[in-house]
Order: sequence, then C-alpha cells, then structure tokens
Amino acid sequence: MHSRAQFLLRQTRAVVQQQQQRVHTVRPLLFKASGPRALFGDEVPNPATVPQPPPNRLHGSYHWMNEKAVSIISLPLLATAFIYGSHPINDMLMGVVLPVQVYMSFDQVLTDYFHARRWPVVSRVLRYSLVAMAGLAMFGAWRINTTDVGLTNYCQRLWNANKTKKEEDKREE
Amino acid sequence: MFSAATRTGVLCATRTSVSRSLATPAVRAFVATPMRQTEEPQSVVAERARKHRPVSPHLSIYQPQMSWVLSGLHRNTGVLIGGAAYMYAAMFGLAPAFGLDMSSAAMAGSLATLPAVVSISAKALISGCLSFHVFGTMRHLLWDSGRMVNNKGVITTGYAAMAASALATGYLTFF
Repeated sequence: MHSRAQFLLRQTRAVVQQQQQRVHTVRPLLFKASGPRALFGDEVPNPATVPQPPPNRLHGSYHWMNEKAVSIISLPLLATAFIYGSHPINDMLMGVVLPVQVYMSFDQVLTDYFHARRWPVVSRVLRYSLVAMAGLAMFGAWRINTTDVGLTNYCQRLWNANKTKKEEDKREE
Repeated sequence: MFSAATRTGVLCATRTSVSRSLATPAVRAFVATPMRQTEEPQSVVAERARKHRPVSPHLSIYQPQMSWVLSGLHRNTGVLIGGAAYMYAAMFGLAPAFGLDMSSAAMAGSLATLPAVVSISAKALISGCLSFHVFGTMRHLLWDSGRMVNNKGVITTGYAAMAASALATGYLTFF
C-alpha cells in the first residue's frame, strides 16, 4: 500500500536521524531503577554510543559447541557408571566433566535471571562464587576418587546403605 | 441533607416512576486526592506509579503445556541436582579442614540408620530429578541435531522422557 510504504520510509528516516543526533525525551523508565538509570538517565540511548562488550572467541558459537560437547560426553560416562559400575578412568572423567557441565548450566541460569546489564553487582558476586564452587566441587570429586573408593562406588554404597545393613542383619540371623 | 448535593433536572426527569420510588438519594462521595504541591519530574511520578502498580497474572493463568512445564522442570531438576552435587563435593573436599569424616563407610553407616520412609522418599526425589534431567538432556541434544523440532515432536519426546524417567526412578528407588 502506498501509505504503508511511506510510513515505513518515514520510520527508517527517523531512525537514521536518531542515530545522527541525541534525542532528548523524558519518558517513564521500563527497567528496574538501579542499572539503566545509572547508565542512561532520562535520555533515550543513542545506539552508536552504547558500550559494546569486547569481542571474545569463547562467546557465541564456540560456547554453544562446548556446552553440547560436554553434554554429549556426560551421557556415556553416566551410562558406564550405571550399567558397568566403577572404573577409575570413568570416575576421573566424571569428576571433571560433570562439574564443568554443571558450571556451564549455572552460567546460563545466571545469564537468564541475573544478567550483568541489569544486576552489575549481584551477577559479579554470583559468578565468582560459581567459579569457586566449581573448583571446590572438582577438588572434592578428585579427593573422593583418590582418598576414597571412587565416585561410582561411593554413590553406590550411600545409595544402598540401608540395603546392605538389612543383608548384614539377615546373615547374622 | 443531601438534596443540595444532588443534581436535579435532567437526570431526575428521565427516571421512571418505579425507579424513583426505589432510588436512594444520590450521595456524591468525595475522594480526596493529594494536591500537586510541587511540579514533580515525570521520572519520579513514573517510579511511584511503578511501585504501586499491581502485576498482571502470568504464570497463574497460562495453561500448563508440555513445552514450558517440561522446560521449567528440566531447569529446576538441573539446578537441584547440580547444586546439591556441588555442595556435597565441596563439603567432601573441605571435610578435613572442618574435622568431618565423610568417607563412604562413615556416611553409609549414618545413612543406614535412617527410617525407611525418609530414605525411600530421598532416593525417589534424587533419582527422579537426575533421571528426568538426563532424559531431558537427550531430548535437547535431539533437538540440537535438528530432529523433531515441531509441536508434535515436543509432545512425543516429552512423553517419552517422562516415561523413561518414571521407569528409571522406580528402578533406582526400589532395586
């Protein structure tokens, strides 16, 4: 339609104009008061001057690929643990792969609910504590594998704790 | 007393005899609104309005569907299992610093004394969360390969994942 094309043309011209100069308007803020007010005040942000994060190789498709790789690797590891049982290599791999997968998943959860743009302090605190917890978890898993019976056997013994006791009672009778 | 406040004339003339007999004298209720003493900037007014504005119902009115219920369940089971595993492993790593003995023998001994109800419900919760999350992972990887990315696929794979996780939970809890 003729008028629709004119309307669209007017919109694109307005966008170009907006990009060329700052537009001062007073409008009710749509976000929580902390983040954007500190960054933008009452003005509509000019897209050309909004700070962009520096390009990082690990963001984007490489990150997605790593997530999927970790998920795919974890499936045969868990299958081996559940079906075959304990094996030192499997336990060691699980002690590395599973914490990494949980770390990446929690990273996604943090990005969804506490994105740094809107929660600059909370997201930083949570991300650092996530890294700390992931390191501690990997250290704990390594300790189970080395000083104790291994991840699979450990979980098995805790899982079947009341069963083994019942069998021991029966044998004593 | 109220006649001075009521509007006579046009409004009363349109009433029928029945309504006039039933009508109570019109009471004008005066609601006091705060006067705008100062010229407040729009942002202040907007923030005050935002603070007192009620939230429209969202999660409480959206029809439960396979898509979002299972997605939320996948995330929640992942957070539960992953968080619990992280905390347990971290505690095991730091156990000697706190003088705790978390070896398999000690933990198995203390868990054996739990009543059957507690142990079975704990096992059901853990195995349920873990198995649903694992089968949900397979479901997500299937979608990432491009397969069954449509409504029917979501529902079919959803039922398959729930059935598989129910079987796995039953097996792990009781056998």
